[in-house]
Amino acid sequence: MIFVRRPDPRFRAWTYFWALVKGMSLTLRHIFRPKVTLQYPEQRGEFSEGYRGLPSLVRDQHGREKCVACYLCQWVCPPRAITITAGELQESPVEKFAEKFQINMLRCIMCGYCEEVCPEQAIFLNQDYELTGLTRAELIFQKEKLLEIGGVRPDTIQKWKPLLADPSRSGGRKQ
Amino acid sequence: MPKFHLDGDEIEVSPGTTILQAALERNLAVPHYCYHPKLTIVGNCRICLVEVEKAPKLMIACSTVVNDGMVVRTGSPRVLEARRGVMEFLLINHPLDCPICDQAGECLLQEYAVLHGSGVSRFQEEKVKKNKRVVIGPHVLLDEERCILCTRCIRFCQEITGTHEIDLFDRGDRTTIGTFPGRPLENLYSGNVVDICPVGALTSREFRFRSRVWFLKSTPSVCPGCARGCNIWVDTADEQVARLRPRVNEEVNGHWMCDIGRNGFESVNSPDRLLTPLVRREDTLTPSPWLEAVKRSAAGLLRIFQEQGGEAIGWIVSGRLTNEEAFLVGRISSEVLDGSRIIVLDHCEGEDDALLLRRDRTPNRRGVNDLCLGNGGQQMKPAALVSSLKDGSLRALIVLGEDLLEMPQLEGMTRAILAGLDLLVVHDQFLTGTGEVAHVVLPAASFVEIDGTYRNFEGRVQAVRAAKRAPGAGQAGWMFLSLLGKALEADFSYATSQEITRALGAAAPERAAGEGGAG
Ligand code: SF4
Ligand code: SF4
Ligand code: SF4
Ligand code: SF4
Ligand code: FES
Repeated sequence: MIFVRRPDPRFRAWTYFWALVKGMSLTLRHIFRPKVTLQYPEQRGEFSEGYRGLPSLVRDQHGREKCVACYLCQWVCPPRAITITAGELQESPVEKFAEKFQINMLRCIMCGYCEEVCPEQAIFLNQDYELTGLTRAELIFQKEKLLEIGGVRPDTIQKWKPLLADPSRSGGRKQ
Repeated sequence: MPKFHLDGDEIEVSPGTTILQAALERNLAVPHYCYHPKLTIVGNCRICLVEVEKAPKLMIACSTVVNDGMVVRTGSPRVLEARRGVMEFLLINHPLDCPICDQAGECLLQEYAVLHGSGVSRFQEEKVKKNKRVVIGPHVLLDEERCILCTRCIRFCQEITGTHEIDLFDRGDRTTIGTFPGRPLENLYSGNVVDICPVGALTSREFRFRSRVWFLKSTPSVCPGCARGCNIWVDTADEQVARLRPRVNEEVNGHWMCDIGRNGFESVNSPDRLLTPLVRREDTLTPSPWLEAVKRSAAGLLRIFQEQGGEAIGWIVSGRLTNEEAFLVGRISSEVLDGSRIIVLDHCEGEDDALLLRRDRTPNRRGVNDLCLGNGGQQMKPAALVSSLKDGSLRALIVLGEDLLEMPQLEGMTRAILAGLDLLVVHDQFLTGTGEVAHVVLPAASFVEIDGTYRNFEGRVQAVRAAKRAPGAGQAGWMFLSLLGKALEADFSYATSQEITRALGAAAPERAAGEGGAG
């Protein structure tokens, strides 16, 4: 065992007083500045257009689900939050659709890769950031919910429109 | 032997070699669509253009035969320019289907568009519209818009199967491929046109939308559909088999496989697979741990062996066993349960065909015959099975992957006969009719879940590799037999199938190698 002598504070202990004055003056200055604290949830912030919230599926202006189950988003998603099961559309010339489409929001890191990779412009990150639920299952969003929060995004390029407009081309031709 | 310069290197080739063949031999990436090593050369896609010194125009590499002293450049600016032009023409009427096209990811059009295309289209007019999703046969779907008219599929049906179902129709930019009215593409090898189609024009109806190719894990294996033993790739995604594809082996199957083998895997993915061992207790089959089930089988077998001798015990096997499994059956039946009878069932259908399919629909009949019976195993003819069950000379059966109630060759077999046995042990993927009356049922692994070797009808020994795990507690036959051997206090125990393969090779080197050599 060794004994260590406690340093004698004496005069040096009194130099904190200067820091006190400095701190207090900062506080005083801020009292007279404009307030920035938001009273969430009554008040909400404004986000930039590029804000990346929850991903969601969208429909075009004719109400068509745009996703064709190409699986690119499932492939690119870094935390593997997306799970798709493809199905065949017997009557429509688009041929393929997502029978099941789920995003595990507990896994999603809102990176936006899915939006970037989608060749059909069918998946978008919206501004929503509030993710609450009482069970985990509730936070695995199914297709209906994803389409509901995604809503409608009008398309400028409507690649399938000529096909959909031509009745002879819907459904498979049998030989 | 002509010598020529290929991208600066002087090389010597055998007479008659084309520039493309010489380039591919040297792993030079000369793009090609219509050229296929097994089909005649037509030279209609023009993507393989290369520059030949002193020739006024570019030449197509696939049909230009190498001449002595030729100087060929495969990557000169003129060549790159020409490829860009060909790609642009090929894509003019091509639909923007990649997101819904099953070929995407293994499509040569995508690949060459990235490597050699210009990236943008200058085409302003309306694209020509053709028919999509045309059913041209039981296994194949045609998308006329995606076709680049390379005619590989036509040549396949003319030259390989000789059935001539596909041909070109119409003219100019309306040209399409198609089938004749009332003559669908239904030859036994139709699935191969899907493989050789360089684009997504011909796609498989079975694989349709099942997965995307970039999710697939490919494992080299051997088709268990018949005694040919075609080399295959087993493509799996999420522990499900998505498709089987031929794997090139010039000695066995070339580039092809038949539709029966190609589509013979559906039962593997079935949700009804047997997942746990079942043991009969008070007249019902109840789940049980593996070791307990094996011990119970072993105890029953030993009792019958001691009371009534080996002749009262029968093994039901067929050519579906691997060499490793057959080897263990042979060892147990001759070393431990001395004198037990081995019954090798046939699975034959139709006749051998001219291309690949064999009448014997099991992959390893030769290996099983040899390894089960070759070491002093006692054979019993399938015809004698029912009568010896009836007269009570057979008291116990070990059934490896067969449903005795579904075999036409076992005339007079009934549930009651099987239910009357002292011991019935069944190792199978499903709970079959035989399993339902058994005392012990063990879950088996399917052909995509096992390691082992098959010996085909020519004597070639080829390796099978597990592409996925068996569902539940399913185990391969060699594992079951190894455990059973241990429980019967045999003096062997193997931890892997490869160990058995090695033991097998040591026991009979000439047999393990087979006459055709290891494949
Ligand atoms: S935003 Fe990123 S993490 Fe979330 S689903 Fe899309 S790709 Fe996946
Ligand atoms: S990338 Fe787009 S079209 Fe493809 S599966 Fe995802 S949402 Fe659907
Ligand atoms: S054939 Fe190839 S390029 Fe054409 S749609 Fe299919 S994947 Fe895309
Ligand atoms: S269907 Fe495929 S293989 Fe047949 S001609 Fe068209 S692109 Fe070639
Ligand atoms: S590969 Fe040479 S022209 Fe098609």
